[in-house]
Amino acid sequence: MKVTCSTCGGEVSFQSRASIFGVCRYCKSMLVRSDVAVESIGKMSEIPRDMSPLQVGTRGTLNAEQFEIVGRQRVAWSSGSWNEWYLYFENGKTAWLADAQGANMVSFQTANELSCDAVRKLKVSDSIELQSTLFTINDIREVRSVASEGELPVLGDPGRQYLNLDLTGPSGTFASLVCSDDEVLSYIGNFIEFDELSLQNLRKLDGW
Amino acid sequence: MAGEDSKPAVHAFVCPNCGGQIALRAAGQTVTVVCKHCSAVMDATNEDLRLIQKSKSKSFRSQVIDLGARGSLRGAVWETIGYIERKDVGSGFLWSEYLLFNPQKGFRWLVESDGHWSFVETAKSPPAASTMHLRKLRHLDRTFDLFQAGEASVVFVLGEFYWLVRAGDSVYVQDYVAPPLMLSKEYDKTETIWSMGEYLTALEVRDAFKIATRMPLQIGIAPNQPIGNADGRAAIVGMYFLSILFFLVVQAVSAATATETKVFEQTYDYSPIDVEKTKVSPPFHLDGRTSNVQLKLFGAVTNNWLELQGDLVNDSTGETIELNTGVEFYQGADSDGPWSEGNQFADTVVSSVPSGTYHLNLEPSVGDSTPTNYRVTLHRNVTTWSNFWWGFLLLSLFPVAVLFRTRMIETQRWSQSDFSPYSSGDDE
Repeated sequence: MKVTCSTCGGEVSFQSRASIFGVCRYCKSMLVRSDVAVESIGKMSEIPRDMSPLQVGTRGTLNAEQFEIVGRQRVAWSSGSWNEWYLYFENGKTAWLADAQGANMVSFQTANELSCDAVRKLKVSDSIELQSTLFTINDIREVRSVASEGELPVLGDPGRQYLNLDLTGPSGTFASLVCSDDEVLSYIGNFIEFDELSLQNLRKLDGW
Repeated sequence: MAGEDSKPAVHAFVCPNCGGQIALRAAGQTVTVVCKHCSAVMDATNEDLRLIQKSKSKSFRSQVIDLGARGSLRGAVWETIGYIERKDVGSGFLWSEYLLFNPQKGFRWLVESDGHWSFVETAKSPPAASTMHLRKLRHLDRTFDLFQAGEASVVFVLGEFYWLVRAGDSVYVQDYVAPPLMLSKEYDKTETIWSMGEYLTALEVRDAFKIATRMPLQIGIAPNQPIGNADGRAAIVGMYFLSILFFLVVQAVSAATATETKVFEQTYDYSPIDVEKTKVSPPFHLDGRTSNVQLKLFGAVTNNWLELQGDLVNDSTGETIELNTGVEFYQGADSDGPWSEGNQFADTVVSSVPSGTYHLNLEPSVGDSTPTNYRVTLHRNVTTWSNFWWGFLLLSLFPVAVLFRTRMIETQRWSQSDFSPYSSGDDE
């Protein structure tokens, strides 16, 4: 789906039906998409420089399915930050690829019956069942969106805060819980190596 | 795309403490950066570096890989971005850790302790709690033994790190070993991190990073240092048991085919005044294929000995084969009751005696020269065990030596541990 930027008139494309937020690549306007219209909510700030080899437009393969990175959100907690890359698969599926402290996790959104009140009571090392699998909480952090680009299924405006829980399960499985606006989003996936994804159109890094 | 010779990507910042230039090699990931000029520790999560600690920490060890140096290890190019020295709070023992970075692979550690090196990676899936026992745990189908537990504190930092680090920070550490692997658990109140290290030879590290300075002196056996080749040891043990089996089969076959034919038997009187010192037997036949001959001697001696010099003479060739043996037997009684020592029976075997007509020349000598008598029996083709036992002994030498050496090295390795399975005392 293609829309016209309400600020500069440039063409902004949304590949995923699930995307509600986009950044115009011409004027950096933040666009919120609704069923009827696109509304600009201000200018996006610059994404801090990093050494990630990924970029919006990088393509790859996961479980024999092709995907493309269509968006990215840079998130930070009190002492560090990482990238959440939004993956769009050919068949319409979407996923997140987190690249944090040299570890990469791909996860898919799953249904849950958790409430934010319940999630806020959880502590590190607590175990919780998600989709019939037991996961252990590794860390709980108040995080905030730093900046974003491309299209996202969440609002990626800078300063937006939420609670993020990282969990690990058996044999390299990974999960995260996000409490935002009193809604709990849950994601389950795996740790992966970039080598496993047959990545193309990577960012050229100076010196590497 | 990455080459170890390409120029590292460096983003330069100005140190808010001393004004010197600070390199940032893993921008976006780096949380802490330490100024190489003034050792000030800064928060690198924002582009305007914020001073965290005006460090006065000093280095106690020699840093042999410079920050920015690149090397190829395990199929990837790594850039050295951080250097840290830590010590065991209990013993004061110090070691060095180099943080390595590759944009695609993330972070690794090179840990140098007593001149021994390990390549360390964060364990993506921690060992399940159910696999942990008091001093052992199962992970990736291997059993790891607890080697050390203690508290590690940071004494010196340089470069950049993906977490907040300051001199004086400390965590609890448990090291579990299954050479060449070492599984380490570092934990504090808020976080537990498992990492997996693999032993590297100093040569691999030197070649990878083209280290020109002298490598740190290697001391002792590292907790995760592999000894020789475990597969090689398994092969030796396998070959050993196969050979023993082969020996047993040969022995069984030779026992089954032994005929033990009696070819001659005669009892002789002995007297010191015998005119003929040497007794000559009548001729007898040794039949069949070339095989061994056993001479059995019974000497009716008491508190005396009898030595027999026997010559087996081939009547057609004149060839002589020695068959010497002897008996001695003593008995008596003392305050403990009757006793006896020695044996009136003896035997000797010669191998590879061809068939033909033979006779025996027998020359006895007796201890106190009293008259006595003795019986000589000759058997053809008997089962013997001496070859088997000699073979067994010789065959065992090498495996036993390997086992002994392995045990010595293991004992030395574990002498550095509080949890040694080799030490006597409370830990047994």
